[in-house]
Amino acid sequence: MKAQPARIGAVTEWASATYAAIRGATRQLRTNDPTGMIIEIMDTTKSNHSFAPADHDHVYDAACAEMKSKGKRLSHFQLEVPHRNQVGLAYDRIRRAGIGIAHPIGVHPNDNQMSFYASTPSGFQSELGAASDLVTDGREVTTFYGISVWGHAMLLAEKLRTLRRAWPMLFNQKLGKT
Amino acid sequence: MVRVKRIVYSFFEVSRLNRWKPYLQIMYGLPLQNFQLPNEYEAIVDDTGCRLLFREGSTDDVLLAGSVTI
Repeated sequence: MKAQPARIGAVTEWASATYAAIRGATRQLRTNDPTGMIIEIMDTTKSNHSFAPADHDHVYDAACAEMKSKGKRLSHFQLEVPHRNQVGLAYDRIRRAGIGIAHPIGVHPNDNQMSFYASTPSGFQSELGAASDLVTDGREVTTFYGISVWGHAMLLAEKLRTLRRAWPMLFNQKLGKT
Repeated sequence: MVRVKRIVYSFFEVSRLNRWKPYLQIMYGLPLQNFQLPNEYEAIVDDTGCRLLFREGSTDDVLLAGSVTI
């Protein structure tokens, strides 16, 4: 069974400096989540803005480091498939092919979608997800205190790759030389 | 009433197009095929015309994304 995406789910990119400033952030990631709502992830370390998440979790940290290291607009894009088994099968195919998995399978809290992230040949990531909640008129505004309910924990190899791209000077020093 | 903003295309410039072809096939089951211009390629996502567009280049980033409000 192939993935056969049902639709383009999300694109995450940096907001402009002007827009981030308007929202009281030093920098800001924007994504349209699969439910059609705009998610704003703001780094407000300097301004201590009340909307800032108290603790950025690993997905956001990885996205920031990745984009910072390469000066990219895009952190990742996502496609959706109808069934969770299609996500699992794609995960197996990616692992067998030896393609880097940036974040293994997990669930996001905003839409309960199960997904994983792979590393594309261009350095940014792409996500495959399934079975997200639909937004209806009765949905209430909600605050989430993390990006994942479970899973999505960054693998050690990907952490090292991200660190190497973000701070190459840490890895270019040769031992034994003064 | 909930207004849903739906992405209908994203346009990427990528340096290693030859690696994107197997990547899209393995990850999403999507074949990358010729688009309208000689150096442009598309992966059709669904039967409503949503697609990922690619061209070869050094940016390795997204260039454009188009959406509709439904």
